Amino acid sequence: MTGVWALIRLSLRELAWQRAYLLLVVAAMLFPWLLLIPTALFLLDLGKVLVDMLFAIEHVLLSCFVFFLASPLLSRDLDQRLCHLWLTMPLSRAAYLVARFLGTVLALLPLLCLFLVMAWMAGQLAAHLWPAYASTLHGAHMLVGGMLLVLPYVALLGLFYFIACASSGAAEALVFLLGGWLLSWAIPPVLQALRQAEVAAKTSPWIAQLIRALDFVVPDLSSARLALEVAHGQWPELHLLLPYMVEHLAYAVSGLLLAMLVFARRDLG
Amino acid sequence: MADVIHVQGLGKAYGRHWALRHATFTVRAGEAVGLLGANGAGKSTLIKCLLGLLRADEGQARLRAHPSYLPEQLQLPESLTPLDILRCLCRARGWSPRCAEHALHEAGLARRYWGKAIRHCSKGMRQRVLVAWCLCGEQRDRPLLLDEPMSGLDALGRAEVLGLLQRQRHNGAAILMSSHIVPDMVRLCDRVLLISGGRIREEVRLSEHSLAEAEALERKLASWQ
Repeated sequence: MTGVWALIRLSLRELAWQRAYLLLVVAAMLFPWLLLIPTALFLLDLGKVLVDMLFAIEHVLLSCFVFFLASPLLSRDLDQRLCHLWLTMPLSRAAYLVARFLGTVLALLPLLCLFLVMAWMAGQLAAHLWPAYASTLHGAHMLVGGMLLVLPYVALLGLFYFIACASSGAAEALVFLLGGWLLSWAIPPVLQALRQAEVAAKTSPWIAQLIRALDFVVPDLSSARLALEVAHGQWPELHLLLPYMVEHLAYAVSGLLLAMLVFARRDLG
Repeated sequence: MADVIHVQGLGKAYGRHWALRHATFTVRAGEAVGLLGANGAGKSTLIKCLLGLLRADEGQARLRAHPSYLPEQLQLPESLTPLDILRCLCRARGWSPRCAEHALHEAGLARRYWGKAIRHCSKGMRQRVLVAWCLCGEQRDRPLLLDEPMSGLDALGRAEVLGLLQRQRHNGAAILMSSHIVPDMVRLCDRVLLISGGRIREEVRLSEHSLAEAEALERKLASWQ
């Protein structure tokens, strides 16, 4: 366990001292306040517009974290052989992956908390400035919704660990990660469209099957239903919330387990 | 002296090509053994098979204790400092983080660079950080596996590192080192294993540690090219 803790600690330090991380911290602090400007321009439904925009920015921040910080951390380890040093210690390959994964997820949490606290403060200011338009702005809903939005990205990270362990280098892993990320965003609206009789009639059945099969492979990053309910000032319903959490955690665990299986058999040249 | 590194019939194949075959040797506590050969001869493959980084396809390797390993072409995390990295590695091994300071001092890295990010360190300084990692630890008769440890060091740096490795050897460490620099190898090692085409062709015992011995080894290697 000593090795795991030491590696978690190193991962945290390694990420936190990168300029890209500091840039994301600055963005997380500034954006909630900047969003008050466009919110003020659309004073029709201040709470909903602000929450929608906050969640959109949160998706951008989380995606940036995955692409520019989390994915290079593991790929660099494999490409530049830092993992060789760790694996010659009393530390198994599985423990190495788990420690890196946990370190990465832990580095994400302060960033997210900072963003949500700033968003909550900006929301309070907006409610104070324009009380008549802030009927649907509920701070607690926004905080919980914002925290739940991180789950799909934890799932994506788990899948990335599998991709990185199976790929031959950083560039290949990044291409597959980008592919997975694009599919995650693209498939839900396509499936929505396929539910319309007119679209379904014009789509070849095997293409529709292929899209449905892909939907099972990649996690739904948009969390659209959850975001919609929170933006309208409602608590997410429990019968939707539980499957949402279980689905994404299952993706993360499955990705990590597959990564362990592949990594255990991989030659580290 | 007991065997610290024991290798019996070790082999590694990539498809039909054997990168390493039938490697058999031992390294005892307080002994330094060199692996000498051209590029692609199988030196790094042998070390990585020994460490379990590559899965051996035949034979077996045994290390009496967890080794200290200096990989070739390792890139340290650019945003961290030498002291951060070494402290962290020491903690992972269950050693006191103070070991890190002592080792950096011994490895000859100027104190003003201990707290500077790796991106501000030259190639030679980075190599000294890795050498310092090999100096950490309390167990005296441990295996030291060094893959091209002199890479990136100038003549003075090489001499200093050789001195440090000599001291480790006298303290009881079992050193297995691969290098292209024959005179360095001759100065440090008791024996040299000449590798060509993935096989250990010859074991040469060094007695004089002289330039003449180094030249004889170089001639022998050249004759196999």
